[in-house]
This record gives sequence, structure tokens and C-alpha cells, in this order.
Amino acid sequence: MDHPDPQTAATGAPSDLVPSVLCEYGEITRAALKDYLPAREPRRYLYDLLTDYPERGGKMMRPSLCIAAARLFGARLDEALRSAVAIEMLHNALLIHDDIEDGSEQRRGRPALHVLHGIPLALNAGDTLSLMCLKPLLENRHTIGERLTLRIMEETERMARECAEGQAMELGWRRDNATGIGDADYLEMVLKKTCWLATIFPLRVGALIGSRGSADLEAFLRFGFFLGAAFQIQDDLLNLVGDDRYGKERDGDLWEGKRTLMMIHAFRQSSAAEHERLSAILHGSREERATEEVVWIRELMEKHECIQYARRIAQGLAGAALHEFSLLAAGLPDSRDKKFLEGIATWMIERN
Amino acid sequence: MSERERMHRKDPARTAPLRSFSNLYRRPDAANGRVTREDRATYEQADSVAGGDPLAQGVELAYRVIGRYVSEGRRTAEQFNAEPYSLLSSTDGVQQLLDMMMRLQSEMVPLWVDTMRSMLGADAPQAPYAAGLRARASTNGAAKERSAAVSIELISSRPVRVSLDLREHSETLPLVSLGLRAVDPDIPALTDITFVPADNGDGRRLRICIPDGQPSGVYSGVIVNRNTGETRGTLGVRLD
Repeated sequence: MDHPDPQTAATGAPSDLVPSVLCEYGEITRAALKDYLPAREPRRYLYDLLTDYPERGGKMMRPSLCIAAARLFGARLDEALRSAVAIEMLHNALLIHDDIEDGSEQRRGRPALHVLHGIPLALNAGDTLSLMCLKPLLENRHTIGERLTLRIMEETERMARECAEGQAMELGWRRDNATGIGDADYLEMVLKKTCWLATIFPLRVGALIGSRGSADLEAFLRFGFFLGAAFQIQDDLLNLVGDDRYGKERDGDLWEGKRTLMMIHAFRQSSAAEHERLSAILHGSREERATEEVVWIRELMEKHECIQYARRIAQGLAGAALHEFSLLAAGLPDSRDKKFLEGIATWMIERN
Repeated sequence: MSERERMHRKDPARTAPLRSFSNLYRRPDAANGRVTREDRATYEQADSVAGGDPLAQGVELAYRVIGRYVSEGRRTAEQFNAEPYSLLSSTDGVQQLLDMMMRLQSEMVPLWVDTMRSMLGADAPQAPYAAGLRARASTNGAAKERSAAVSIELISSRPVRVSLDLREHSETLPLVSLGLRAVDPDIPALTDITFVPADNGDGRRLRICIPDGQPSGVYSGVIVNRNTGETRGTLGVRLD
């Protein structure tokens, strides 16, 4: 796999750098991803579905983090590319399943896959995509050797387990209409559900590749956690206040009864009567919720300044991510990828 | 101070210490989603411990969450691997590394010396350890390869690999091979092996002649001092 060396490209200004690196690494990953998605029958029932979400765009943050973390230590881009492809495949697979589990109607500005093709075919596509990511992971041995390939497989196993635990926590809270969730519970759930796949895993895999297995992975766990938690809170905020560029259903989290930081704060700050009504609204399924009830939850959040509260916490976590990155990257030479990883924490909470 | 004026500290709201630091910000049984109304006041108090700016509160809380997570990971890891690594195993690791470095050095030094010699156009070794270097030939028989002090001439129609180990300062001695034998006693020995002065008069030349009908295999033997009978090294030949 031959690709231009971005390290030699002109270094952009910090504000432009993150989007430009995301675009660049994203395009390279997307092109490589196509090689792993066969265009053969049954296209209509399977392979067309696999390419649907990846072709809709997306930020390509996960593969970019992996490549940048590898290059931070001086690795070649092609050494991290297969892992980046696998991460993007797995991400899209989990999006398909998440949309079904959450009952989401939209993804990246278009109807969700299960809305277009039905739940059985969408489930099968998600399963296939998640298993097909094994191929680039195994092919890693051609570029980084068997020892690191095995090490990355171990990381993959852990990431899959952590993700499943986090997703189970969130789905369980909704099923049981949990009203006593605290901020610490939320952060723990986000650590598992979001951070492991979105930030921790890509960063750790990239660091493993770049350092040939010698990097301190706990430092990347901390950096990835703060980065991923800030990302998730911002994502939840955009669901409430995002503009037209936001690709998901506006207020979808309220319809789905997600236990976001804003919802948890609303429960905490509400009076006994408000608490009772909020709990009653969330008790039913999405279909049982009325528009005026969702509007009432929004008003409750505004009344108790839940959005401002969550935004401040996201800002704090982004700052902590910057601090953690400065610690782990202190001895590493300056590079475009280092600037990108520094800049991405701020980008997380400023994106819209 | 009179009894009336004595100050009284207010009774603490808590009557027992917080045993579980990790639950300070956490609803008990939150993973199962069940919280009693009685617990609620306590949780609200706990959540407001940091007070003030949500930014500072959030960061503090997040550090506690990741700190607890990492600690749990360490405890779990300890359950799987509680045995501390012994000094012996550590030393073994260092020893393995040293062995590897020594092997690497022993392989690289002859190569380096040969390279430097060819660059300088020198024919004879200058370093005192040169006579102890191992000469290796991997050739089809037409080519020849020299050690630092002893050159090797091969006469063979088939591929031959030669290894020569000589003790230091042997190159000036009257060396002789007693013949190279295979493990199988029925296989005839290689006997046409002689040491002659090098063409330029500097050092010695080991001439090995392999008969055309010689069976394939590994042959080995010793190199001795013709005058004293003392062993000065070994010679091995692999005939493909």
C-alpha cells in the first residue's frame, strides 16, 4: 500500500490542522477499506448494506487517531493502515447495531440501515462487518510482524468486551427506567461504551505499532478516556442543540430516553414533582412518548441549566485530555501528528 | 469561660465514616438502576461535595473514575499473575540479551573487518585477534574466502560450506590437517587438505580438494601443529 507521506506536507494552522488531518487520513482509510468490502453477490441483501454507512461520510476520527498515534512514534502510515481500516469497519458495524438497539431513525443525515432494509438484514450486515474486520487485523502480520499482530488482537478482544459492558449498562438503565444514575456512573458507562472504541483502542493500537510494543498504554488509557468522554458529552449536547449539519435525529436522545449527563442532572436538580413526572415519561417506550412530553423534558433541562452544566464538564474533560497528552508526549519530537493529537481535544468540544 | 458561653460543635450528619471512597459520587446499585428515595438525599449531598464550578467537579470526578478503573484492572491482573518476577528470571533476560549481543558481534566483526580490508585494499590483517576469527566460505568451489590470516582455496565441482576455527597466533605455525571425517565411518575421509604459504608470502593458504565422487554430508576434523601435535583449531566442511 503506497501513500503520500503527510508528514512532509505543509503544517497547517492549529485550527485547520485537525479537520485537514481527519480529511486526509479519513480518505486514505476509506480507500483502503474498499479493498476489504467485496462487490459480489448477494449485493442487494448484504454487500451493498456493508458499504452504505462508510460511504455516507463520517468524521473518520477513530482511524485518524490510530494512524496519528502510530506516526507520533515514527511509524510509517502503511504500518497502521490495516488497523485503522479494521477500527472503521468495527465502528460502522456497531453503529448498525446501536441504531437498532436505540430505535434510531437517522444516521449521518439519512434513514438508518434498519429503516431502509429491515432489522434482520441490518443485523446480519452488522454481524458481517464486525467479523470482516478480522481480515485486516490478521493481515497486519505482513507489515508489523506476528508479535504485534497478536498484541493488537488482544487489545481488540478487550475493547469488544468493554464496549459490550458499557452498552449493556446503558440499555439496562433504559429498560429498568433507572432514575438514580450519578455522574460517576455515567462516566464509567461512557468509558466503556464510547471511549474504548472511539479513542482508547485506536490510540493504544497506534501507540503499540509506533513504539513496537514499548509504549506505556496506561497513559493512552487516561488520555483516551478524557478525550472520549468529552467527545461523547459534546455528541449528546449536539443532539439537543446541533445545527443542520448534525446528522442524527434532533432530540433523538430524549425520545429514546438516553441517560445523558443532561438527563442525569435534570433528575438531580428537579423537584419531587418534576422528578416523578420525568420518571413517568421515561418509563414508557419511545412510541408511547408524546411530543409535548419531549418538549417538557427540554424545558426542564433549560430550567435547570443542564446544557450549560454538561458543556462545562466537557470543557473540563477536554482540558484534562490536553494535560494527559502533554504528559505522555513530553519526550516525543514535534510533528504534525503530535499537533493533531494536541488539537483534537479542543476540536472535540468545538465541533458542531 | 462560663458554661453558658461554651461553644458546641454541631452534631455531624454522618454517624459513620465513608468506607468506600469509590462510591462517593456513585449511587449504590446504580449498575442495576435501583435507587431508593431514602438514598437520594445522601447522593445529592455526595454529588455536591466538589461544589462550585461543574468544570472542576467534572474533572475531579473523571479522575476518580479512571483512577478506580485502573486500580480495578491492576487488582484483576494481580489475580492472574501474583508471582513477582524473580531476580533469576530477570538476570536470565539480561543474560539472554548479552548472549544475543555477543552472537551478533561475533557475526558482525568478521564482516566488518572484511569490508574495511576490501575498502582499504589491504591483504593481510593487522589486528592481533585476526588469527582467531572464524573463516566461513559458502561457495560453489570456484571461489575462495580468506580468514584474517588464512586464506582458503577450494577445489570442488559442488557447493561447499567451510568453517575454520583457529586459535590465536596459529597462522605462523606449521599447521596440518589430520583429515576430515563424517559421522558414518563407512564414508571415506577427506584427506587432500594442505596448508601452504600464501602466494604473496604473507600468511597461509588452506587448500581443500573435494573429489568428485565424495558423498554429501558434514565432515570435520582438527588442525594440529605438525611439530608438537598440539591442537590449534577445527575445520568443518558441509558438502551438498
